[in-house]
Amino acid sequence: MANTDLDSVEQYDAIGTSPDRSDAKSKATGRAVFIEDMHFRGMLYGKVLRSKFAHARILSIDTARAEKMPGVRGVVTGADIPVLHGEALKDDCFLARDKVRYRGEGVAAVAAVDEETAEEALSLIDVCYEELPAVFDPEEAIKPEAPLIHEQLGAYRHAPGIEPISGTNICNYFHLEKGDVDKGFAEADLIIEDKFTTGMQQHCTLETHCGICLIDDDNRLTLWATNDSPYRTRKEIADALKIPQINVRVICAPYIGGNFGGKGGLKAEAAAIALAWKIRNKPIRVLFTREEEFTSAIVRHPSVIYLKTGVKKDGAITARAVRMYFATGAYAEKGPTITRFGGVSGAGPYNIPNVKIEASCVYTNRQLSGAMRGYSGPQAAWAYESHMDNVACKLGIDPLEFRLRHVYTDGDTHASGQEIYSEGLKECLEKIGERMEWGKKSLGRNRGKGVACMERAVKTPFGSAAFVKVNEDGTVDLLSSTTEVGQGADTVLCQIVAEELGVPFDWVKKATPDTSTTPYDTSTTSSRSTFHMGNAAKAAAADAKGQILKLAAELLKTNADDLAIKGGNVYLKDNGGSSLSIAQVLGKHFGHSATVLGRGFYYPHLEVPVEYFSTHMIFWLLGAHGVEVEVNRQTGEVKILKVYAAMDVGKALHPSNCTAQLEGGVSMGLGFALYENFIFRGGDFLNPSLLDYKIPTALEMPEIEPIIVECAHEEGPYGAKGIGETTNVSLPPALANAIYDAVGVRIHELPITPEKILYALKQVSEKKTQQRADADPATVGNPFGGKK
Amino acid sequence: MSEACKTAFGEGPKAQIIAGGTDILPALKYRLKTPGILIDISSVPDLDTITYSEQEGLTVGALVTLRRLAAHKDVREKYPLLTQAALSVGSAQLQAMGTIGGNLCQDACCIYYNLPSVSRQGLDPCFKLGGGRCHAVQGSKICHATYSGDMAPALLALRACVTIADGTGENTIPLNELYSGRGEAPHVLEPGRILKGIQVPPPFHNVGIYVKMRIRKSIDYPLLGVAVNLLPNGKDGALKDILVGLTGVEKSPLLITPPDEIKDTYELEKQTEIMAQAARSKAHPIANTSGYSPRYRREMVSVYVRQGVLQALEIAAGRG
Repeated sequence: MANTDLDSVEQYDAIGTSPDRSDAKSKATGRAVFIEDMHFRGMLYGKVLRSKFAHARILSIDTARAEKMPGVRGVVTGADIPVLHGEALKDDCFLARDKVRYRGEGVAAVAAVDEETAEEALSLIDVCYEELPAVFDPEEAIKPEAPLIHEQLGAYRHAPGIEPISGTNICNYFHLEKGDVDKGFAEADLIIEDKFTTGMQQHCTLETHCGICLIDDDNRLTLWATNDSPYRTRKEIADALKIPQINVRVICAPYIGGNFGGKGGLKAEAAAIALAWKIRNKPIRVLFTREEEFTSAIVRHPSVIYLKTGVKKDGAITARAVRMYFATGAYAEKGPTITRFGGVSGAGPYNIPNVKIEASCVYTNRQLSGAMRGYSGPQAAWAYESHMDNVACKLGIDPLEFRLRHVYTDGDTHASGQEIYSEGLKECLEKIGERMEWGKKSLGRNRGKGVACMERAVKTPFGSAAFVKVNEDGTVDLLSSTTEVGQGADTVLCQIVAEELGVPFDWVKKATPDTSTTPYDTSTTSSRSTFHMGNAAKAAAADAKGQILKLAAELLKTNADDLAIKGGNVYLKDNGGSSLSIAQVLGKHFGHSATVLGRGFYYPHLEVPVEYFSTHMIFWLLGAHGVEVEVNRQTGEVKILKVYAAMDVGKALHPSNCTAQLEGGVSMGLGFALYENFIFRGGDFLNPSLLDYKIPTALEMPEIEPIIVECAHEEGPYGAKGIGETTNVSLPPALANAIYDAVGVRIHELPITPEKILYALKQVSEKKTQQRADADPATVGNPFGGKK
Repeated sequence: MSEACKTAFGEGPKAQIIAGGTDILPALKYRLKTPGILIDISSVPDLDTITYSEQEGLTVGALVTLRRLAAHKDVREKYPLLTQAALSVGSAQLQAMGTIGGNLCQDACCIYYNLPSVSRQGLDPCFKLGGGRCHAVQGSKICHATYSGDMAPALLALRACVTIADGTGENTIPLNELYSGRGEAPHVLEPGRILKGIQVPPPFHNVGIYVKMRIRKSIDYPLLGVAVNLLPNGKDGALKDILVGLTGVEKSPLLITPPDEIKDTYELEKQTEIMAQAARSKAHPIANTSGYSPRYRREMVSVYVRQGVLQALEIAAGRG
C-alpha cells in the first residue's frame, strides 16, 4: 500500500530529526520526579506478607498481634476485599483468598507509619496452611491427573474471544487454521519436527513497582502509580470494586523508571488498593523490593513449542503445524491475549498454504507471567526461526535464501486470513544479508553467521485520544495519556504536534497522564503509541491549526486555505513576507484570555468483525537480526563478534531513538538467549536478585550495526509504525543459528549456556566417532572432533 | 588497631568488622547477619599503605582498596597477576570500595544461603544460619558454602603470608592457614583477631595469570578461578616450577603444588597435564551457584589450568 503523502518530497521541520529527548536533561541531572520522590502528608507505608507455599489452602489468618503493634495502622487480608480483578480473564484477587497458588503470593498486608514497622509486623501474622500438591510444568499441568489450580475457572468473567476450559488448567485455548494441513503434509517429500522451550525472564526495570492509593469515605479512589496504562488500570479497578469510573482517578508519576510491559495491571497497586479499601482517607504506599519484582510481579511466559513442517525437495513449504504451551503461572494476567498473539504468529512470517496453530495458556503454581517486550514474540520466534534453519539445513538450502523465498510480501495472505500490506520484512533480511556479506565472506574456523526474522502483531483495534491546548504565547500543551516509560514517547509525540501545527519542537510539552485531565488511551503497550497516539496527536494538532488559520484568515482578510504556519508564525503561502505570530492571532481576537483547543481521536477500522482482540492487525512489527559468533570448542563459550539489527519502522520520526531501541533490544535479547534463568528447586526460587539473576552488563554488549528500514504505512503518522516492543525478538534464534553454522550443534532450550554447547559438541563428535568406528574399527576418535 | 581488637574481643560474636562494606552490607540487608555492633576499622592508621622492595617483596595493608592495589606501579610491574585478579573482582564500584583484607576474609557463598529473607521462608535454616541441614548437599552433616574470593588464589600461588593482630601483638602465617575449610566460617579469625596486612615474596622471573569463569564479564563471583604462577625456561622448554591457586570450587581457596612426578618430567605438555589433573582432583564444585553444573565446572578446572599455563607462557615469551 503506497502512502501518497510520502511520495511527495515534502521537507519536514521536526519529523525525521533527532532533537534531544524531552526527558534527557531532567533524567541526566537527577531532577526527574519518579514515584519514590512523591511524599504525601500522613502517608502510610504498606508491606505484604507472602506465601511460602506454591499451592496451599489457607486454614486461618490471625492478624491480632500485628494489629496491636505500635505504629501499625491496619492489617488487611483477602477477606476484607473479596473481589476479583484481571484484564481479559478476571481470576485474580487483591490478596489471596481460601488458597495460595504460588510462592510469593500476597496473603495479608500491613500499613504502618514506616516501612520498617510494617515489615516487622508481618512476622506477627500467623497463617495456617494445608499444603496442596503443586504443578510447575505446563505440559504436566494439562494432564487430567494434574492438581487443579482454579476450581472456579468456568465461573470467571472474561472478555469475548477468550476460551477457558473449565475443569482443566487451560485458561485460554486459541486455534487457527488456514488451508488443509493434512493435505499439505501428504504432499510433502520431507517432514521435519522440532521441539523448543524457553524459560522465564524478568523485566528488571531500574524502578520497582509502586502504587500510592487513597480512598475516601465516599469510595472515591485516587491512585498514584508507575503504571504504564492509566485508563486500563482505571477500568480494572472500577470493574473490580464495582464503582463508577469517575470515582477512580489514576495519576501517573511524571516519569516511570522502565516498563518493557511489566508495569501493566495491578501489582504493587493491588496491595495499596486493598489497604486503602480498609484504611480510609490516608494515602498508602506499597513499593516492591527487588526480591518482590522477581517473586511477585510478573515474568515472561515460559513456553514449550512443537513445530512440524512439510516441504518439497525443491524447498517449497507445503504445511506447518504448531502446538504451543504458554505457562501463565498462578493467575491468567495477560496470558490469554499473549497466547492469542503468539498463536497468530506461531507459524512465523511465512507464506505457507496450509497452517494449523494451537496455543494453550496454562496455569502453573509459579509467579505470574504477563506482558514483556515481545509479548510471546520471543518464544514463538525462538521456535519458528530455529526450526526454519533446521528445515533449510535438512534440505541443503541456504537459510537466508530459504527465508527470502517464503517471507511475506505485500499481497500475500497471512495465516490469519488477512491480506498483507506495508511489509518491510524482506527488506530487513536483504539489508542484513548485504551488510553481513552473506554467502561471500567466510569468518574462519569455529566461527559462524546466523539470521532470523520475526513478525508480531500490534494490539488491534484499540483507541487513543489527545488534546492540543494552544497557549496565549503560542506554546502548546499536549494532553495525552501515553506514559513516558523510557521509550521516548513524550519526545516523538511532541515532534508530531510541532510538525503538524508548525511550531518549534521545544514549544510543545506533553502533560503527565492523569485520568481526570488527560484524555483516553487504551494503553502504552504493544509499540502502539507512535502509531495510535501519534495519529490522535496529529489530528488534535491539525484541528488546532485549522482553528488558528481560520482566525488568522479573518485578520488578514483572506482564505484559511491560503495560509500556513511555520516556526510559530502564520503566513501567506504564496507571499512569505507578511506574517503574524500565533500569539498575535489569538491576542487580536481575544485580548488576554485566549486559547485554542484541538482534539483528536484515532481508532483503527478493520474490514473484519472484531469481538475483542482482532486476528487482523492494523500493522505488524517486523524485524530481523544477523549474528556473527565464535565458539570455543574446549569450553563451549560463545563470543559474539557482531550483531546486525534491522526493523521496519515505517518512517523513523526520531532516528537516533530508533537506533537506541535497536541497541537496547539487543541487550534484552542477549540476556534471554544466553544468561537469564530462574533457578527453582520444587516450589523454592533461588535467585531473586540482580547478582544471581544475570541480566547482561554493558560489558556484554557486542558491536551492533543498527539498520532502519522504512516501508511507509498508509495510515501511520508520516508513515510511521512502531519499534520498541520487538527489537529483542529475533536475536536468540539468530544467535543459535550462528552457533549451528560455527560448530554444527543445535540448541533447543534457552538459555544457551556453554555447557549445553560443550555437551552437544561431545555428542556430535561421539556420534561421528561411532560412525567412523562402524565404518573402520581401527579409527580412534578425538573427543573434540578430531582436530586440535 | 589494639582498640579495634579489644572491642571486637569484648563484644564477641555480636560484633562484625566493617571496612569497605562490600561483603557485609548485602548480608545485613538480607538479614543473614544481625550483629549488634559494627566495628569500622577504616580509621585505623597505616593500614592503607603499599610498600615494595627487591629484598622484602610487597607489603599491602588490609585497608588498601582493590582498585588502588591494581593500579599501584610496583604491583603492575612486579605482580601483574595481582592487578589482574583485583580487576576481576565484582565490578569497578566494588573494587573501589572493597579492600584487600575484606576480600581475603569474605564469607563463603551458597545460593541456598545468600537469599533475601522472604525467599528463605520456605527453607529450614541451614548449617550456615545455625540450623541443622545443608540444602545444597542433601543429607550432608556439614556446610558446603563455597569460598569465592578472587584474590586468595592469586596470593596463594604467589606464596603470600598474612599478618594477624590480636590487640597485644601480631603474628604472620602463610595465607592458606587463614582458611578453615568450613563453609559456615571460612576463615579462622576469632573475635578480636583482625587481618592487618599481606606480604608477598619478591618476584623471581615468575609469570602469573588469573583465569576466571563467570557468566558475565562484570559483577559475578567466580564459578571457577584459576591462578597460575609458573617459572618457565626449564630444560627443553619445560617448566622449572608451577603453583596453581583455585577458587570457587571448595569451601576454601586451594593451593595446588606440583606433585613429585612433575619434577621428573621434562615435557611441558606432560607437566601441564599433571597439574591440570591434580587441580581437578582437588576441586569439588557443588550445585550451589546460579551458574553452571558441578560436572561442567569440574571439567573446566583442567581446561582452565591448561589455558592458564599457555597464557602465562605467552606472556613470558612476550617478555623475552
